[in-house]
Amino acid sequence: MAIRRKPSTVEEFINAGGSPAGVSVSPSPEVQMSPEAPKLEKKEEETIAVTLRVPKDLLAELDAAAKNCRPKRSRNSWILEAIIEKLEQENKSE
Amino acid sequence: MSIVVIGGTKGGVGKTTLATNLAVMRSRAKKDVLLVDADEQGSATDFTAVRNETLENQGGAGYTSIKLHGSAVRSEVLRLAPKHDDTVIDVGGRDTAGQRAALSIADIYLIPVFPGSFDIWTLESVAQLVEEARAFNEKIQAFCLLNKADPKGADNEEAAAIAREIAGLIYLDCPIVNRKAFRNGAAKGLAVMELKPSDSKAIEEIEKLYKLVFTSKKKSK
Repeated sequence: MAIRRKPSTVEEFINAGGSPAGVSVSPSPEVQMSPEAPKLEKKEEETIAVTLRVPKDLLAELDAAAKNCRPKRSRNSWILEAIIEKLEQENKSE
Repeated sequence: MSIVVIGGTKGGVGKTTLATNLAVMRSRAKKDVLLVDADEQGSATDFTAVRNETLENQGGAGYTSIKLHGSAVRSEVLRLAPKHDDTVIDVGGRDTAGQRAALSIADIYLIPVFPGSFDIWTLESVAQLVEEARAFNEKIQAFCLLNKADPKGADNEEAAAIAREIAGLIYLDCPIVNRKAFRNGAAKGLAVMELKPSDSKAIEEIEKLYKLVFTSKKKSK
């Protein structure tokens, strides 16, 4: 069984929470950038909120995968990791 | 000075209704209240906007309302709370950075829960979150209560029995029944005791919660 480390700082604890409006979902397989959308947490780091349209069943699958991760991931973290993995893969193949 | 957070990881359980009612009640008790809307839906802010319109001739809402997200919930409230008697924070129904930031500074964490299986089941993960928060905030006291409860029937007691078993959370025996008065009040930016005609049962229930939150001595588990 995987052992999860406790967050060692309050910042780590806070950042382990999901982003409130970074990813919103509606059932259509498109990715839409909305730079004018939520300005949440902009001060904290250089992030931009993106509206991601995901089919409902795919989202359910994603949530289940995120939940089963050890340590458990938020939806946002899981998607971010997937993006990073894909980018690394693309870079390797170039 | 106390920081009261109304949270949990389930949406639609009436967090904003409790937060706004408690903030109004505290301000009616002549306390200088800061209401923090840390829910991306912004319902507490909407409530305050409507309240300001409704009470325009009586000086407005009667409390200070601000909207914060993410780690700013911690940093800004730490800065602003000492300037107020009490701070009430309404967070969204998900495990967000904003909710965690609120937990890291809360004196009291109130978790309203609907008496349904899916809702009660979330209490375990909330208790886990509280345990993590305790590493950074020893003073936090976490309470759960039934909100939007049934007027009668066995579900309330069954849900309460499960809630009592959750380690790390204290079950408050003050169920708030799902009453139209709360919705009518919200529509006008009013707390239930400000509503005419009044609903004495709704008032009695929310006053019991208010007393437990603001006037009871610290509890221990």
